[in-house]
Formats: sequence, C-alpha cells, structure tokens
Amino acid sequence: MAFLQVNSLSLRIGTTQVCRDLNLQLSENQRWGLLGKNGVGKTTLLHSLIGLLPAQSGEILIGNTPLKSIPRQELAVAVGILFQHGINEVPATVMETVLLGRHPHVQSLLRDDPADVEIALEALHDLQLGELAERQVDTLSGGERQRLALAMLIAQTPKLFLLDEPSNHLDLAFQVELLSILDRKLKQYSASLIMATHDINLVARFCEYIVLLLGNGEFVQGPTRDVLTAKNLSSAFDCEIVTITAEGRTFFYPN
Amino acid sequence: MISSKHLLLFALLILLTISSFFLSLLSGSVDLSFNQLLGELVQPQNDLPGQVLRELRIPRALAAFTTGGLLALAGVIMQVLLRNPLADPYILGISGGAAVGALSAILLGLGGWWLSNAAFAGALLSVVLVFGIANKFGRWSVTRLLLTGVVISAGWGAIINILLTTSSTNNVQSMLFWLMGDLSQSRVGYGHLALLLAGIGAGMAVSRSLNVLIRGELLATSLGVNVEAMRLLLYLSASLLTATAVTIAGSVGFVGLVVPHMLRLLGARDHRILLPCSVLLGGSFLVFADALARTIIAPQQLPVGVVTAIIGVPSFLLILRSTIKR
Repeated sequence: MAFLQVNSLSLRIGTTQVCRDLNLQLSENQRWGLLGKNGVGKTTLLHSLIGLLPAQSGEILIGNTPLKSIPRQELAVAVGILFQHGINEVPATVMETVLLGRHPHVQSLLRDDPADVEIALEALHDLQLGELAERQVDTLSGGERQRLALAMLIAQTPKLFLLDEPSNHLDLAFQVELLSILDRKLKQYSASLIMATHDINLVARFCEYIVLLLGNGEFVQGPTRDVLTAKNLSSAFDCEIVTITAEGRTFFYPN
Repeated sequence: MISSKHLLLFALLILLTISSFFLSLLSGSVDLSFNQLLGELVQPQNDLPGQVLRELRIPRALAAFTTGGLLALAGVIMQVLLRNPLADPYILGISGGAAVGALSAILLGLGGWWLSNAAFAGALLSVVLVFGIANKFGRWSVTRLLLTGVVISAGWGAIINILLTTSSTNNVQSMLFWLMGDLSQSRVGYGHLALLLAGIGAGMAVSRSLNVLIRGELLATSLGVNVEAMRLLLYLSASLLTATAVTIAGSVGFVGLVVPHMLRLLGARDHRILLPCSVLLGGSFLVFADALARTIIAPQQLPVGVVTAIIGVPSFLLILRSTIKR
C-alpha cells in the first residue's frame, strides 16, 4: 500500500505552474529526489504535500486518508519537513530547540517525558551536536544550524521525511555523512523520503526515484536511472549537462 | 525544558509577591506595625487600622496585583501572537479605545460604574474594529493585524487629544490620571480574579504550542499546531485580559511590555514557566509601584503608571546589562 498517494495534482504559485496532473505513489522505505531549476516550484510542491499550500486541483492521500481531513497534530506525527530557510532566530539552547521536534508526540501538559528527552538527545548525537546541547542557537555556525534543523526533524520521527535542500551549508564530509544518517533513520522507522535539492550527484547516489520539474507544469518522473539522463537534465536546467563515469558511477556536471 | 533554575525563579517570585503585599498593606497614612498587621490578618479587629486595612489597603493591593498580572499575561501573549519584541498589550489599540470610552465618561461627568463600563465598551469596540478590518479581505496575517492595530491606535490617539484639549482643567486632571494608569479608584471583584485565573489556565494549556508558535507559523504548522485557531484564541484572550486590566486601572504602561522581557532575560523562555512567572512578577511589580505611588509624596498620590516606569526602567536596564556580561 502506498504511504503517500498523489492523484492528478495541479499546483500553481503566483504565475508559475508547478505541475499539472501529477500522479505519485510512494511506499515505505522509498527515497525520492525532487529536481528542477530555481523557481520551478520544488518548495511549493513539498509544502503542498504537507498541507501548507492549497492545491489547484487533485488529491493528496496519506495512508489512504485525504490530507485535508487529517488533524494537524496527527499529520505532524506522520509527515515531517525540513524547511529551506532552517530555524529562525529565537533565543534558545540547542537542546530546547531539538525537543520541539517532539511536539506532535507529547502527552503531558507540563512535564518533559524522559523518553522524549532521550529521543532528542539521540538525534543530537546522530547529527554530532551532542556536545553543543547547552549552547545558544545564535552562537552556532550555518552548518551547525542546518544540522540542528535536521536533528529536530529526526527527533520528530515521521514516517515521511520531506527535505528542502538538506545539504545547505553542510561541508562535503557531512553531506556524505547526512546520507548515511538518513539511510539509518529511514530503516529504523520504516520511513520514506522526498528530497528537493540542486545536488544532482547527491540524488543520483541516494534516491531510487526522481521527479524532475521542467517548468510550465511539465515534469518527468520515474526510476533514477531512467530520469537522470544528460538529455533530460539539459532541458530541465537550460544548460548543457554532461556525464562522466568513474568507479562504476555516473556523475553529472555542466559543460 | 523546565529546570531547577526555573523552579527557583518561581519560588523567588512567590516570595516577592508575598513581600510586596506586606509592604503595600503596611504603607499609608494610618500607622500599622508588622505585628498589628499579622494580628489583624489572623483575628480582624473593628478598630481604625483594621477598617483601613480591610476597606482600603487589601482591596487596593488586590486590584494592583490583578491588573499587573493581567497586563503581563496579555503582554506575553501579544509578543507570541505578533512575534514582535516591541508588542505590548496596548499595541493593537485596545487601550486607545478604552481611553476614548473613559475620557468621554469623565467629560460627561460620569464616574465609578459608568467610567469602568465606558472604558470596557471602548476596548471591545476597538477589538472588534481591528479584527473586523484585518479580517475583512480574505486570510488575516499577523502583519495585517499589527498594521491595522497600530493605525487604529493612532486614530484613538487623535480623539484622545481632541478630548484633552477641549476639556476643562478639572476634567483634564482626572483624564491624565486615567491615561497614566491610576489605582486610587480601583476595586476588583471575584470576576476579575476568576478571569486572571482562567487566563493563566488557558495559557498553561497551550503553553507548549506557544513555545513552537514563537518559532514561526510555518514551523508550528508542520509540528502539528493549528495556527489559525491558535492565533484567534491568542488575539481574543489577550484582548479580553487587556480590556479588563484597563477597566480596573486605566492604561498602566510598561508592565505588559517589560515584565515578559525581564523574565526571558532571566532565563524563563519556556512558556510553561514564563506564563506563571509573568503573572507573579507583573502583579507584585504593580503592588510595589502602587505602594510607592501612595507614599512618595504623601498625602498626594502619584499615578501608578508613572512609578512603574520610574522603577521599571533602571531595573530592566540592570538585568539587560548583567545578562550581556555573561
């Protein structure tokens, strides 16, 4: 059974037609990449999948229930999102911030459940922020802040991770590390993921399926190998993209 | 997270509240010693100090505490709703509307019950006006609410100035006292206290959601907060708390803006602890300020709103300085 089902979805923001008649079926343990050039509507599509933006037409089902009829709190247990702009400036410690990820799960009005604290701490350790738990968020670097936002999402333990440019501000080593953390977490929670990014090679390495937005509501979707071709990418990004093969993998770069 | 540091802060504020009440009950033109006060509290006597205590000082201290608590609570809520550190209970024009109501009553020579109800009606009119206009054209956003409130506020300000400049000197004196906040005519009933308690209760019930909401509406929505319902609840409750406070004591400034900030600087950023601490600090702060307002230039009284600023400004700057050093 598909965890997320999108039926003939049409989306528009401002004068941009993001997609027309998009159908998607996403099952447990699947990893999807969402690609397209600046302003084509990747963020809009992700936001619509969690009900932050209304669809023009079409239907989104989470576990067979229409998105619109799922209460916010239940939806937050099922689907979590990493926003592109990270976390905003409110004075708080790292630990206070990551604990917010547990918000949809909390039972007690006042008391912090030790189990929630433990999950939050584990998420901090996963993202190598354990030693910074008591630090003020405004003293963190950009990369550390991005890791904190990721830790908050992981502490939320959703069944579907929506990631908007997760590798923003991350150094090369940590971009690779991020993939292995996500891989581990997806297996641990039998969760799936949709990742919007500009890093084609990251997606090629990590995702099994791709939605490539072409603009004007058009798109290509399917298994990574079929969608990620020099021809498709060149037309999506309006620039000649060529491939090189090394160590059995294909890499993409602009010519 | 609630730590032992927070509980210590809460305990200290309880002590501060108790001592503010003692100070307030002991100060005034009729001498009353500490032992006499304890005696009166345990076993009421029908002598002059006993009457002054029961009929003047206790009601007045309660009025001060309730007003301060209501304003501080409304201040916290407005700052979350508008996500603006400069937000105070009056920013959306509630005090302006109340002032126009109160000043009109003074102009017409009405006092007491009429004055309070005119103020309350003015406040409600302003709430409805601001919400109606901000809501009129589709989805209301916080920015639209803020802009509408600030503009309506400016409109009330103009009417207040018209009333002040066209009134007789005698009336202007009472009007200025009302505008600066004054407790000399204030009485609170069970209704006011119940509202304060209900405000804390409702606030505590959504305190976790407030912690999330202050991080932004998108994030709060994605973490399961029903942002639109919450915004409406916050707007209406802050409005009701503020309208009640100005009805009791006029527009006492400073408490609603500064008390929440003082507590945040002292580390109470989690709303589970910030809300109850704000009520205690706001309440006791106004009890202290009122005790001073009655005694500094006795037998004359100062408007309490002046004293809140006089002691509030240096103590806020002191806390600000000590937290920057850390």
